Amino acid sequence: MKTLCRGMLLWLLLGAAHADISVQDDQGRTVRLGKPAQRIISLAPHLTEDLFAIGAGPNIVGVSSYSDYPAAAKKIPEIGSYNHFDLEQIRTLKPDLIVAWPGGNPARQLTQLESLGIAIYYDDPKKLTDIPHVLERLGVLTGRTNIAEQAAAQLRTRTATLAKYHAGKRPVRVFYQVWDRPLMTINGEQAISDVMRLCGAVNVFAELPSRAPTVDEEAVLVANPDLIATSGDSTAKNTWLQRWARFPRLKAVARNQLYMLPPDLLSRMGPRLVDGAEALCAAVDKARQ
Amino acid sequence: MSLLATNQLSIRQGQRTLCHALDINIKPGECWLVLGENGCGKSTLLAALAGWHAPQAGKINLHDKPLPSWTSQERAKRMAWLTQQDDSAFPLTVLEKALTGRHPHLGRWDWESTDDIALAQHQLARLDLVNLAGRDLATLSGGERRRASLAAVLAQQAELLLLDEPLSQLDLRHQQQALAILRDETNAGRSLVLVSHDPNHAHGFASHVLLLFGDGRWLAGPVQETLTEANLSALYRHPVRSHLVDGQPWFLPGPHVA
Amino acid sequence: MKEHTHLTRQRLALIMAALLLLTLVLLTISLCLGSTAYRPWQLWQSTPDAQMARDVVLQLRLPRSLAALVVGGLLAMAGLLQQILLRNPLADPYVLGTSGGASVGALAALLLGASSVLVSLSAGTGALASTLLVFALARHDHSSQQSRLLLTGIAVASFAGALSSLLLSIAPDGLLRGMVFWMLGDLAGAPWQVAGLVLLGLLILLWPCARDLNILSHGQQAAHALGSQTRQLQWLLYFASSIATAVAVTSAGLIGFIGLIVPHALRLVLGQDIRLLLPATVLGGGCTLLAADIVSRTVLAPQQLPVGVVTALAGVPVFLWLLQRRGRQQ
Repeated sequence: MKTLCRGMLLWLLLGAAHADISVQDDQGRTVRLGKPAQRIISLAPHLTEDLFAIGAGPNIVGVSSYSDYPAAAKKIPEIGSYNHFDLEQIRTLKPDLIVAWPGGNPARQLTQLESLGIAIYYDDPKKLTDIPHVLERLGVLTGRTNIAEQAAAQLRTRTATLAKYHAGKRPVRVFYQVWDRPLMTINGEQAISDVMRLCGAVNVFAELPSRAPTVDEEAVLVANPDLIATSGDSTAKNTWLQRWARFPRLKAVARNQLYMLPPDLLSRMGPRLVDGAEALCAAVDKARQ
Repeated sequence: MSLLATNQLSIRQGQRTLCHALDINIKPGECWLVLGENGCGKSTLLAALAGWHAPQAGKINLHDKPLPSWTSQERAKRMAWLTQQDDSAFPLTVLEKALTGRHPHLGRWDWESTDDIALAQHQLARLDLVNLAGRDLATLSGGERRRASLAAVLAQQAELLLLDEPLSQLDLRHQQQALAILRDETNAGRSLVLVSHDPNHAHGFASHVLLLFGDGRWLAGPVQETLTEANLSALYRHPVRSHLVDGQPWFLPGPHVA
Repeated sequence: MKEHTHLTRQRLALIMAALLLLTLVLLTISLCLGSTAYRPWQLWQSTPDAQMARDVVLQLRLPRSLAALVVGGLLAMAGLLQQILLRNPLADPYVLGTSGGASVGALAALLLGASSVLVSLSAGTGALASTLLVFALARHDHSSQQSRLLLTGIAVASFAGALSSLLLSIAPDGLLRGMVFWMLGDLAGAPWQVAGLVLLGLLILLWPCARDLNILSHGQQAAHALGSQTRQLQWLLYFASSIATAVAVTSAGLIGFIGLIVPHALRLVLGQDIRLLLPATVLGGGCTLLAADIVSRTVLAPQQLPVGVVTALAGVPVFLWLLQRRGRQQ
C-alpha cells in the first residue's frame, strides 16, 4: 500500500514535471506544452529570427514568407505570407507549437488555428526591452532555457550599454521616413520611437494620433529635424533622401545628417532590433557632433 | 445633268443582298420615294448613298464625281442625311440641334454667324418649333424631336436631302406641314430621297418611286408608271387598291386574299 | 433666368474668365493654407522666417497646387473625351479600362523595380494597350449607343483590375504598402511640368476640333452626314484620352471621380457645347482637385488624407445634388 502510494506520488510528480512547460504569452494566455516543442511554425519573419537566436532553428518546420534571416531560414518550407497563410499546409506539418504575431496575422485565421487544437504562443512586443523576455519564454517552450537566457542577457547588456552611453546627452530631433510617396512616418507609440528615446533622440511627429501617419512635407520643414533617417526596405532607393536636398536650410540637410539605415533591422521586432538601435543611435550620435 | 447617280450598285447587309445592280439617276428638283417592307434595306440604301455604308459593288456619283473622292465637308455641303436615330446622349437645345446643320459651311475657326442663327431660326419657324428653341431635346416628344432633326437637315441647305422616315411620329397637322415644306424644297430646286412606309406620302410632289423588294430586286421609275396597284401589291405582298379622291389616286390596303 | 439657346463667343469668354478667376482664387487659398501658418506675404518680409516661408510656399505648396490643377484637368478632360467617344455621360477612364491599363503597367514596372521614368512609360503603354484592345474588339460597332464598346471597356477594366490584384498579391509586402497608397493618389512631389505640357498640347490639338466633337457626340452617322471624319476623330479621342489618363495616373496615382463628375456637372450648368465644355472641364477639373487637396492636407494637419478619398467623399454628393436639381427644373 505504501509503495503504491509512493508510486502514485512519483507518477503525479513526474506527470506534473512533464506538464510543467507553461508560459504566459503577450495576450495573457497561458501556453502549456506536454514536452518541449519539436515541430514549430513561425508566422512572422521576426519570430523566425527569435527562434534561431535561441538555437531552436532546427525545430522550425514552417515559416511565413520573407523569413530570410538567418540564411538557414530560407530553406524552411513556407506556409504563406504573414497576412494570409495556408491552414491546410500548417495542419499537415503537424506542429506542436505555433508562434503567432497578432499585430500582423489575421485574427480570423488565428481563431481557426486555435480551433485545430494546436498550442499557439502570441507574440506582441512593444519595445526593445520586451524582446529579451520573449526569447526567455520561447526558450522555456522549446526546452532551450540556457541559450535563451544567454541571448536575452546579451540583448539586455547591449541595450543597457546604449542607454548608458547616450544618457544625459543633448537630445536630437529625428524625422523617421517610413515611406516616400506618400510621405509616411511613425508616431510615438512605435518601437522605433522607443529606440529613439533610448539614445536621446526625439521623434518630431511623436504626438500624431495615427501610428503610421502620412504627413505634409511642409510639416517636416517646420519641424526642422536635426536628422532624417529611413531604413526603407529592399525596394527603397537613395532617392528617398534626395528629395530633401532641395531644402538646404533644413538642419539635417545643411549638416548632411541624412541616413539610410540597413533594411529590416528597425522594422522587425526580433533580436536584430538592437542592431537597428545601434545603427540609429550611431547616426544620432554623429548628428550631435 | 445628274445630281446623284448609282451605277450597278449592290448592297449587302451580312449575307443578304438587299439591292442588286441598282441604276438610278436623281436630277435636281426630283423627289424620290423609297418604299418597301420592314427590313428590306431602305435605310441601308440611304446610308450607302450618304457614303456611310460601303457598297458591295458598283459606284455612286455625286455631280458625276465618285462619292468617295469628295472631301467629307464638300460632300456634306451638297448632301444632307436625316437618319432614323435622333436621340442625343447629352442635353442639347432645339436651336443647337438646328445649328448643327451649319457645321459643313463653317471653317475650323468660324463661329456660327448671325446669318447662320437666323437661318436656323427660320427653319425652326417653318416647323413650328420657335417656342421650343431653348428647350432640351430630351424633354420633347418624339414627334417634336423628329421635327428638330428635320430643321437641322434643312438648315444644312444641301442640294440633296436623304430623309429616312422624316414623318414618323408626327401628328397629322405637323405631317402635312412637313410635307408642304418638303414640297417647297423641291420647288426650290432641291432633290429629295424620301424613305417612307406610306405610298401616299409623296402625294403631289414625288416625281419618282424606288421599290425595294428586300431580295435584291428593285423597281424604279416615274410615279405615274411605277406607283401602281399591281406593283404595290407585289411589294407589300398584300393587296393594295387605288382610290381616286379629288382626281388623285390614294392607295389603301385591300381585303386579304388567301 | 434667360434661356441659353446656344453658345456665343461672349458667353464662352465670360464663363472662361469666371473659371480662370475661380482658379486664381483657389490657387491663392492653396498657397495660404497648409499644415503650418506660413503665408505668401511673408516672402517679402525681411524676417528670418522669410526663408522658411519661401520654402514652404514656393517649393512645396506652389508645385503641389499646380500638380493638382494639371492632374485634375487631365482627368476631367479624359472623362469628357471618353464620354463623347461613347456617347455616354457616365463613361470615364475607369469604365473603358484606361486607368486600369495604366495602373497595371505602372504596377508591373514597380514590381520589376523599374525607375520612375520607366514606370511612367509602362503606365502609358498600359493605357494605350487597353484602349487599343477595346477599340480593336469593338471597332465595327455602328450601333447608336455603342453598347458593345461600353461592354468591351467594362470587360477590359475588370480584367485590368484582376491583373492589378494579381500583381499586388505577388508583390513583396513593403512594395505592396507603397503601391496601395500610390493607388489612393498623392499629389506631393507630383511632377507637374511635363503633365502641364501634355495638357496644354492636348487642348491645343483638340479645341479646334470642338465643333466636330459636338456633332460626333450626337452620333457617328449624324456626324458623318455633317461632314466630320468620324473615324479619325474617334482615334484622336482614344489617343488623347489614353495619354491624358496615363499622365495623370503616373503623376499622382489613381484619383477617381474627377473624370466622371466634373464634365457631367459642368454639362448640367453650362450646356453641352464642347467649345466651352472642353476648356471649362480642364479648369473645373483642376479646381476640383485643388480644392480636394486643400481639404486633404488641412483637416487633419499635419497628417494628410488620401486626396482620392476626399474627391470621392465630396464629389458624389455634389453630383447627386446637381442631378436632382436638374430633375426639378424640368
